[in-house]
Formats: sequence, C-alpha cells, structure tokens
Amino acid sequence: MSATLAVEHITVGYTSDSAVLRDISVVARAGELLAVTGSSGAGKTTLLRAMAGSLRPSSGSVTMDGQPVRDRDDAIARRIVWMPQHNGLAPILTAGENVHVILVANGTSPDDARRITAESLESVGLAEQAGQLVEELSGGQQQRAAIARGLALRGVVVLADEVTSELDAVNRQRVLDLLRAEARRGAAVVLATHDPEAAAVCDAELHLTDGTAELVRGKA
Amino acid sequence: MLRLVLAALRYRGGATLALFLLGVVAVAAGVAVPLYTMAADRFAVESEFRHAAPVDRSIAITSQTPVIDSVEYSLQTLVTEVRESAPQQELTAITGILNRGIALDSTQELWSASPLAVRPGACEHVRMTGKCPEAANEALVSTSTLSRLGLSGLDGEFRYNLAGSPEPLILRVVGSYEPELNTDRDSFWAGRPQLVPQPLRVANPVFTPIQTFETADVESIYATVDLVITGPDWPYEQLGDLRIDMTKAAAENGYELNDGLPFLLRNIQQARDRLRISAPLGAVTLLLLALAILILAAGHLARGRQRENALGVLRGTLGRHRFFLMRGPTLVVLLIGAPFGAAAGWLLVRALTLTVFGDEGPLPMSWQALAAGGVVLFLAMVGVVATERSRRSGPLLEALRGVPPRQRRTGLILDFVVAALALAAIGQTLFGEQNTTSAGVALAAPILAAVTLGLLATRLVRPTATLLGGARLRRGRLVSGLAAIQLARRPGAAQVVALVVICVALVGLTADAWDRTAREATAQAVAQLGAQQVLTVAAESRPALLAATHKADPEGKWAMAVSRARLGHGRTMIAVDTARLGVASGYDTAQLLRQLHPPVNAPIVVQGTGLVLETTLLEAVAPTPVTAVLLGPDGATVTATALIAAQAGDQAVEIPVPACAKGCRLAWFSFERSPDEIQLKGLRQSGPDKVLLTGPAMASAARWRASFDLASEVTITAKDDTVSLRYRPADTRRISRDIRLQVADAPLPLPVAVVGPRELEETQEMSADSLFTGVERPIAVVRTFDSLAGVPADGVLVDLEYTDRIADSVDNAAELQVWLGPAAPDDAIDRLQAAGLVLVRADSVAERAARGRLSGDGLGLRLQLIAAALAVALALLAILVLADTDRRNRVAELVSLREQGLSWHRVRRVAHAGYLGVVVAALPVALVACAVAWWLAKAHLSLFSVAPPLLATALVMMAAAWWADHRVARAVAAPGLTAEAGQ
Repeated sequence: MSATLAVEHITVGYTSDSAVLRDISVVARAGELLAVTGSSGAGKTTLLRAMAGSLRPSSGSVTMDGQPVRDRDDAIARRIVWMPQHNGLAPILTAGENVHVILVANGTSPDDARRITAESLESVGLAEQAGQLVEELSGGQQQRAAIARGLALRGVVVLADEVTSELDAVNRQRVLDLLRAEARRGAAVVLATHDPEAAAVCDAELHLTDGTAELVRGKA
Repeated sequence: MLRLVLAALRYRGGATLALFLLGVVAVAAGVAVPLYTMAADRFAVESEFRHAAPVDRSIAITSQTPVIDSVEYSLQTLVTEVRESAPQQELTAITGILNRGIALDSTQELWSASPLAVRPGACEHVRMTGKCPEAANEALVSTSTLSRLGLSGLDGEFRYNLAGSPEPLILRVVGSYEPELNTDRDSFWAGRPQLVPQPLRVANPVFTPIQTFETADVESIYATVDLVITGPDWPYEQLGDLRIDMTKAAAENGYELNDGLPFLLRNIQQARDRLRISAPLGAVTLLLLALAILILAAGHLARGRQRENALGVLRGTLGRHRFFLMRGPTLVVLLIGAPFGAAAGWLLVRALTLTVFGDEGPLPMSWQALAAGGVVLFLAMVGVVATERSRRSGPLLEALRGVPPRQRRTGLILDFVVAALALAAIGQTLFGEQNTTSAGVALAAPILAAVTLGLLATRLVRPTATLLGGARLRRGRLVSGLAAIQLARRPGAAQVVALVVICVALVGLTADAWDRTAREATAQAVAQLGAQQVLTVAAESRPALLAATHKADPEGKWAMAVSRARLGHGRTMIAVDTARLGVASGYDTAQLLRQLHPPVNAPIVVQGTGLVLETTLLEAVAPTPVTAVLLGPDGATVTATALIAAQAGDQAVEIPVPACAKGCRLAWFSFERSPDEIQLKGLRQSGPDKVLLTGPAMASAARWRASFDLASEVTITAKDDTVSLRYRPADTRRISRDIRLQVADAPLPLPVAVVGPRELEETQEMSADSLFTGVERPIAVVRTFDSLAGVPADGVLVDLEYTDRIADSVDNAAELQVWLGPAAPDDAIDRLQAAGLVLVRADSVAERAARGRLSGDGLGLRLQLIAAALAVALALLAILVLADTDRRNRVAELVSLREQGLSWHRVRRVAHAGYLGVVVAALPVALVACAVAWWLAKAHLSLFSVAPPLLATALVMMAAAWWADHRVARAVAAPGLTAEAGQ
C-alpha cells in the first residue's frame, strides 16, 4: 500500500473571477508527512479540498499514481481520507457511531467496524466517550473523534485539515504521533496547519501566501 | 434594532412564513370559535322556531265575554286585560271571535258545523274569490262548506244558527275561499284546530266582520286573543314569568289558556344544550392544539437562535437588546399575523354560515370574538416568551455548542396533568353516572386519551428508536439505522410524533362522530316521522282518509292512514290503520291488531237508498225531526232528516239516503229535542229492503250509547224490544239541540298503546282522554313501548277507525297523514291524489335527517370538523417549521457523511427517511390512539366513513414530510454545495 498524490499547476476559485489558489504544484508521497502552512485565508483548506476531490480545480490536475482524481466519490474509492477542519461529525450520532457508520459505508464489515471503532477511539483517548453524542463532547474531543474516524479508515492518503487547532499540548502530540504512524504505515499524510511546531515535525512543508505556494522544506 | 429583527426574520424566511401562518391560524381559531358558536346558536334557535308548529309559537286565549255596550268594546276590554299580563312587544296580538254554530241550507237539511269567526286579516291568509266581508251579515265561506250547503256562487244566502243567539242569522256570501296548502304552518291561525282552514274540510270557519255580532242579539261572545311570536328573536328567558302571569290572569278572569310555548322552549333548550356540550370540545381542542403547536414551533426557532443568544451574552449585549433580538422576531410575526387571523376567522365562519346554514344575513364581528382572538394572541406571546426563556436557561457553554436543553420538569408535570385528566375522564365515562356534565366529560375522554397516548409516545419514542437505531447500525444497516437515530435524536421529532398521533386521532374521532351523527339523525328522523316518507294530506274526514288510502293501496303493502293530534297533557296521539302497521318498521302487527282493534259490535251498514226507523209514539206530540248521520263508502258524510209524525202509535219513518246505495255506516241519530215519547223498535233499509236490527237487537243496551258531551244528561233505556232516550240538561242555559243516539261500534274503554313504563298497563294513571276533540273518553293502556314510530317520546298509539267512531264528530281538525313504506311505488302520491286526497307536503327521512344533522350535536360537530381540519393544517405547518429550522443542520450533517464515504444513494434515502420516517413511525401509534379513542367513544365504526379521512390525513402529512425531506436531499445533491459547506 503506497501511493503518491500529485497536485499539478492547479488554480482553484469559488467564483469565476477570483482564484484562491493559483498554479499550485506539490506532491504528497507515501510514508511522508507534508505540512501545508500559511496564514488564515491563505488557501490551506481549499488546497486540501481540491486534493480530496471535493473541489474541482479550474485548471491543472490532482492525480493519484498518475490517474486524475475525478471527484470526492472517486477519491473515497481510492481511499483518500479527509479530516475536515470543523471535524465534519454528524451531531445526532455518538462518537462511536460516527466512526462506525463511516467504516461500514466504506465497506468494512459490521463486526470489523465495531472492533476498529473501539481501537481508533482508544488511540485518541476517547474510549469512554464512545457512547456520547457529538454535541455533548468538547471541541477538542470532537476533533479527536474526527481524527479517530479518519485513522480508522486506514487511507492511502490522509488529508488532515487543522486537526490540532483545538487540542492541548498532550493531545496535539498524540495526534502528531498518530499521523506519523500513518506515514510509517505507508500512507501519504498531508497536514494543513498554522502551528509551526506541528509543521516542524513534518517531512516537508508547503507554505501558502495569497494563493501562491512555496515549498520551504522537503523535495519538490 | 428593528433592522436587526427584520434581518433575523429574513434569515429564516421559510420558518418565519410558517410561524406567521401558525399565528394567523391560531388567532383565526380564537376568533372563529365564539363567532361560530354564536352563529350556530342563532341558527339552532331559528331552525327550531321555523319548524315549530304554530300552536307552539303562540298563546291562545279564549274567553266567554259578556257583551257590554258593544262587541267591539268587550273585545278591546279583553285585549287590554291580556296585554297587562303580556306587554312584550315581540308578541303580536291577533284578536277575534270564534263562536260555535251550524250553517244550514235553505231547506235546513244540509248543514255544516262551521264556526263563525271574526279574524281581521284572514282574507290575506286564504285564496279568496269575491271580496272580503266588511258589512254586517256578510260572510266569507270555504268552497267545501258552500258545496255542502248546496251554494254554487257568490251572493247566495244561508241560515246560521249561532250558539247563544235566539234567532238564526241570515248570512250573505260575498266571498269564497280555498285554504292555502301550508295553512297548518301559518302562525296567523295560532294553531287553533277549529279555526285553521283545511282543504276539503266542510266545517271550515265562516268569516264575518265584527258588525255581524254587533247586530246579532247575543249576550256573550267567545273572544279570542292570540299572542303570536312572530320571529325567533324572542327573549326566551322571559317565558317562564310570562306563563306564570298569564296563568294567573286566566284563573282570575276565567280565560281558557292554550299554549305550546313550553314545547318550543324545551326544543330550543335541548338544541342549545347539545350545542353547548359538543361545540366547546372542538373549540377547546382546536385552541389548545393551536397554542401547543405555535409554542412548539417558536421553541424550535428559539433553539435555532440559541447560539446567537449565547454569543450575545458573551459579547456583553444589553439584556433588552437581546430580548428584542431573540424574541422580537417571533413576537413581531405574531403581532403582524393577528389582524390577518381575525379576518381569516371571520371569513371562515362567514363561509360556513353561507354554505352550511344558508344564512346570508349580517355576521357582525362581536367583541367576544375579538377578545377571544386577543386572548389567544396573548397566550401565544406569553408561551413564546416563556419557551424562549427556557431555551436560554442552560449553561452558556452548552448554548454555544448547540447542545439541546434537557427535559424539564415542567414538561413532565404537564404530561402528568394531562394523563390524570384523561384517566379521570375515562373513569367518569366508564363508571360514572350519566348526566349532562358526564356527557361533556364523556365527549372529552376520547381526545384526552389520544393526547395522553401522544405524549406517552414522545416519552417512549426516544429510547425505543435509539435502541432500534443502534442495533441496526451495529448490523451494518445504515439507512434504517440512521433513520431510527434521526427519529430518536432529531430536534422536534418526538413532538411531531405526538402531533401526528393527536391529529390522526382527532380526525378519526371526528370522522366517526360525523358518521354516527348522520346515522343517529337518520334513526331519529325515522323515529320522528314513523316511515320512510310521510305525506301530510287533506281529506274531508278521517274515514275519507282511510277510504282513500285503501283505494290507492288495496292490498295494504305500502300506505297507511294516520291522524295526529296533540293531547291535552303533553302527549301526542297517532291514530293508525292498525292492520297496516307493517308499513312502519318494528311492530308485531298481528298482536297490536288484537290489542288495539279487538272485535266489537258490527257496524250498522246501510246498502240501500233509504233508512227506515220503526217507531212507536206513546202519545201525540209535535212532529219531531230525526236526522241520521252516516259515513259513505268514500268517507263522505251523509246526513238526512225525516219527521216523525205527530200522531201516537206505530209508524215507520223513512229517511232517504240515496248516497248510500253502495253502503254507508250509520253513525248516529240526532233529535232536536228530548224524544221522551218515542220508542225505537226496529231498523231496516229500503231499496233494497233489508232488516238491519230487529227488536231484541235494537233493544240491546250495548248497541247504543249517548254522545260523550251529553253522557251525563242523556239516559238510554232499552226494554221490551225497544230503545228510547231522554235528555235532561244539567244547565238550562245551555240546552243542546243535538241529542244523539250513537251507534256503539267501538270498544270502550278504547285500548291504547303508550310510550312509558310497563306499570301503566296495570294502573289507572291513564284512564281517560279527549282524543280527537271534546270531553274525555275512557281509555285503557294495553301495551307500553320505549318508543313509538312517529311519536318517539310521549306517544299514544290508537286505532284510527275505532277512535274516529268514538269521536262523535264527522269533522276533522287533526293532522292527516299517509305513511309510505319502502315498497311504495314511484307514483304513490299520484295514486293517493287520484283517490281523493290533497297533498299538503311530503317529508322524507332523508330530508328530516339532513335537518337533524344541522341541529344540536350536528352544529357542534361542524366545529369539531373545523378543529380537525385546522389541526391537520397546523400540524403540517409545524412539520414544515421544524423541518425548515432544522434543514441547514441536516444538510451539513448529510454533506459531512457524504464526504466521508456514505454513498449518495444512501444519503438520499436517509434524507428522505427524515421527517417522513417520523410521520410513518407515528402512524401505528396514531392508529392505536384512534382505536382507544373509538373504544371510549363507543364508536360503531364504518370503514367507508373513517378510512378515507384517516388515509387522507396520513397521506397529506407524509407528503408534507416528504417535501421537507426532499428539500434536504436536493440541497445535499446541489452542485457546489460542498464548497459552500466547507466555507
């Protein structure tokens, strides 16, 4: 299990006359952590959405192992996991159900899904909160639940958008360790963050400024 | 601030619109309830008044008044006296004179017992030919009376023997009249049987001006003052005092008082009572439901603003500003909607009064209606403020995160109170005493039970659906699992379940009540009418009615002659052709025939052209006229007079009766004076000759009787094969010139069947009654019923033929009817008219039932029907409000699941299983609630009646929920939405 997600000269905008990202290129390689940094509004989330197949670039392409990522369904089928910025959890489900439902939806058998759910919540320290509704969890707990869901999917590519923003130091380190473990497992991990310390632990860093990118660390 | 409020309203446009509509409907309901109740009450009173018999709308006073100075003066004196006791302007006083007498032709052989009447305005109430009498001794005579007297045209004269006048009057006919067909419904006649002109009736009154009495040498007159209620707007509460005053005045001044106002009052009161029981149920249900739904929707909107309020608190926004920001939008919407609601309520009632009542009269907006609308608005606003307050009372952190508020104790207390009320009502219904109060409670018990089940469902739905959803998810059944989870945790889902349960139960109950009311109205119509169709007819006499019915329906398969008369003690008598009782359902005709029509003396039937009376004069006296009265084969009266010669000894007196060739029944012989010297020893007919009664039969005591009015003054002696009679008046001022030897060919006492307890058969409680007219006759109760066809309450059933025979009169003042059974042919009316009857009007069960559905319970039920329809509309709006408020969250949630790998196929199904799933899940509970409510309401379910409205309600709710869900699914599928969601 190894793959390379390549972004090649993409330009992305929410309206036709203004682009959030302009001519961005970057490669996320299997076994590596790629940090995407930049100030607020620089386009970090937009880049990750484009990599996740959720946004179609107006020009350029996103490919995985040379094959273009057509849309989010295609990305899901090719196991590109996306941990969105505001966790993307369903409030009417418990933490455990949020993980379980997505596992089953992605093809895991119900029995395996139960086991993996328990393991992933355990890994982020939420074993005891598995039965709690999302709206009853704190912001940090919700963020960890979203991470547990992403990790449980064991994606080929893991896109984590600001997943440590609401975490305390201990949990932030725990999450970074987990993301590192994902990379070691062979996944290509992309971490959007404005936290320099989090970026520092990554193998490469792409810095976004007003829609343009600069690879400040790592291989192009 | 106002701009902020308006911006908040625009932000939730759909929910704002729905809340506006809810406010409009709630205020409309508040305004409509009192408006409708008042309109229905007015309609009920008008309906009862319109259908009341004239006798029930008037007080008829008759007084034998001495003539002092002039007849006019005497009459005015009486009117003044009466008006002192009854000064109400709503009572129209119709004054007149009604004196008994006999109209005779010039030969004095043809006569009619027509009363002589003074009735100003009478000419406008009949179809007149000629002119209205204006001068003394001018007369307006009915065509049937003229025909009897042998007068063919106007300007003829006839003799009138006025009771109390020593000399006969000679009256000149200046006009003739035909009674209007609906004359028996004309209040002008005040329901006076002797005064009401009837088609074919020979004894119709002869109208003359007061001058006739002024010129007549009479010492007294029978003056009449009829106080008639001309319109339904009568202060009925004054009636009790009025009757007391009138009764007192009658006792003091010797009036004869006859009024049916208590009947009218009783009927109006019963209609109002039924309306007062049934109308508030629909009204209270509707108002409570409207308020509950409104507050529920407002609470849901408040939850949507929970986070905004928390942010306001965090940012130090002033309390009053937050008040306006949080509650302002809802309150503004309610205030704006209130005038529209008032107008909508008025329009609704206007539409109802036009379509249901056919009332095009003004419908003023009453202050009670506006006040009720105001109260509803006030309660709604208070409820909204309280609900918003409760939504803000949780921890700030939870409010910021949008954590739903915990179940509050007040909610539990409310549930407990409703459950306790329901249990109390059910207990009262099942085990309590039956009275007016318990009837109201019994009506409320089913809906209270349904509400309790609805509330119980809200308590059970969460844990049940959570367990079910969790289990389904664990098994990998994502769509059903997520649908169940939505039911368990979606805000407002449990309340929607309760709404669906309550609304469906309300519709089910209303549908059953509608069906039951229709069936009860039909049953009541059958009971009141007696047969599927009842024709009110006119005939010359009761025997004529019998004969015509037999002629039209010789086999007795479909028509039965009936005569109705109100008896003095509040009961109504129906005299029927007993052998044909099978036309009315539910009678064992054979047994009743034995009981009511036992064998008696055979009638004396003459089938010849002359009646010969064998007599013996014990001594020579002045020639004595003897009149024979017979009933012809078609029920026509045949009278003929002959003189018994003056010389003593035997003589055969032949009375010519050429009209009796085909057979007549002898009713009586009449003598103008006491025939002390005459012995009757035989009776035979001539042309052809035939002996009718020989000496021993003639002398049988059981063969003859005196007329009932002279029973104590006439002595009949039967001995030595002869019969004789002797008349000794008890009061020499009132000497009769109609001394009768009546043929006894009817059972005495007359057997009757009555509505009442079985004990009546054993006691002498009912032993005499006047029956059709005159003094009392002996009767015997031989059978009791719980209800009688045609006279369900207080009815008396007698045999028409026998009762007529003991009526001692050939005149008929009673109502004549023909009851038609189910086997009646299409041309039944034509056949009866061809047989000689005049159709006055036709009543059918269908028409009577339709009228029944528009009275009492039926009027209240219409309010329940509106309540049910509006409840469904409110529930639909509530679903739409909840769905619209929740839509953004649902869309975001489903988009998130979609982005994490839940396929579009599944997402779409989950979206469509949202509120639709909630409604579908609620339906089985709703059916259970319906079943319980029906059981408590003792419903007799008709699938065809209850299934369509229930199905329609379920479908319309499912459609509304589907539409709300479809909007979510469409939003999730919208291109570019994911980008928006991400932003």
